[in-house]
Amino acid sequence: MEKMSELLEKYFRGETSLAEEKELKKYILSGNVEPEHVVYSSLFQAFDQEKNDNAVVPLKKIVSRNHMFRNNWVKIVSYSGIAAALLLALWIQRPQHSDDFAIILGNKIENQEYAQKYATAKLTKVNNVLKSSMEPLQSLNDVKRSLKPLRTMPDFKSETTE
Amino acid sequence: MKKTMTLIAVLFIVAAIQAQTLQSLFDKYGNDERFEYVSVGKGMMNMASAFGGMVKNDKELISKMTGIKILTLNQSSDSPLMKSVVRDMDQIVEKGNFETAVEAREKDQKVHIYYRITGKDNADMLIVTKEKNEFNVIWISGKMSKEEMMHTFSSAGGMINSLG
Repeated sequence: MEKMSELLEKYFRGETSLAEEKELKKYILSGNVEPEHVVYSSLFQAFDQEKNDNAVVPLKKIVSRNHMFRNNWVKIVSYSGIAAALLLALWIQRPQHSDDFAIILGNKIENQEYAQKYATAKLTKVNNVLKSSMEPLQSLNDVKRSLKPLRTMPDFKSETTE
Repeated sequence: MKKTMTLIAVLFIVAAIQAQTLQSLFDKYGNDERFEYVSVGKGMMNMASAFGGMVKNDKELISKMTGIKILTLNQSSDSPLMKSVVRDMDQIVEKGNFETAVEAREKDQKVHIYYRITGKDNADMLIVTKEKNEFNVIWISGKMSKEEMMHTFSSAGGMINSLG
């Protein structure tokens, strides 16, 4: 019985091996124990009972703060990446609005040819006004060009007088 | 260095404000039922014939033009709306650093051509035509230098230059 007392002391110091613990448990739960060891029987019974108990509430996973922060960061980056990819896809897939259109009487006409013809007509009109208003300048240019040979006249005159 | 950066930022802001002012005129009246609004972007190259007299028929020059927007109002020149639009236009020309390139008149039709250079080789050409019952604003934008912009007026500008 002295051996059991030593084992018990060793057990509470946390120095027993698995075999020794098994032996101690067998002894305590056998019911045939020394009176000084009876107090431990309820303790070992409780341990034995707890072994068979199932957790009612799911166990909460305890994660370190650093780990949580890293996890959150990874989540944020992943979600941002997905969102960016979706936006990019939407941007690529978006309906292409043409730069060539006309709005007549509040109605938008997305007809490239119509818009180009309209613009061409307006520019041609401007062109015609410019051409006709610049005609006097053209005449002046012609006069200037035809007077060009006369510029050499003074040289000719000075040569003949000498 | 800081001063240069600030100056560049200010120049960018000024350029943006200038562009907005002209853009805001088209935004303001573009969807108004009383106006006609036409925009041509990528199709500029198909409009070479329209520039036949004005541009030296230079495809390279047309390719530098990025877009054309036309706003037309068909109303009497005495109408309050016409007066308001003309006033808005005059303010844009005045505040938008536009320089007059050509002023022409034929019968009751007046044509004013303005241009401005914004930033490096960004040019805006503004053609304003006024008739008795019609007002047109033609805005041509492109990546052109001042010289290239002046080339656009080969029939008008060229003639003026040769007289000088």
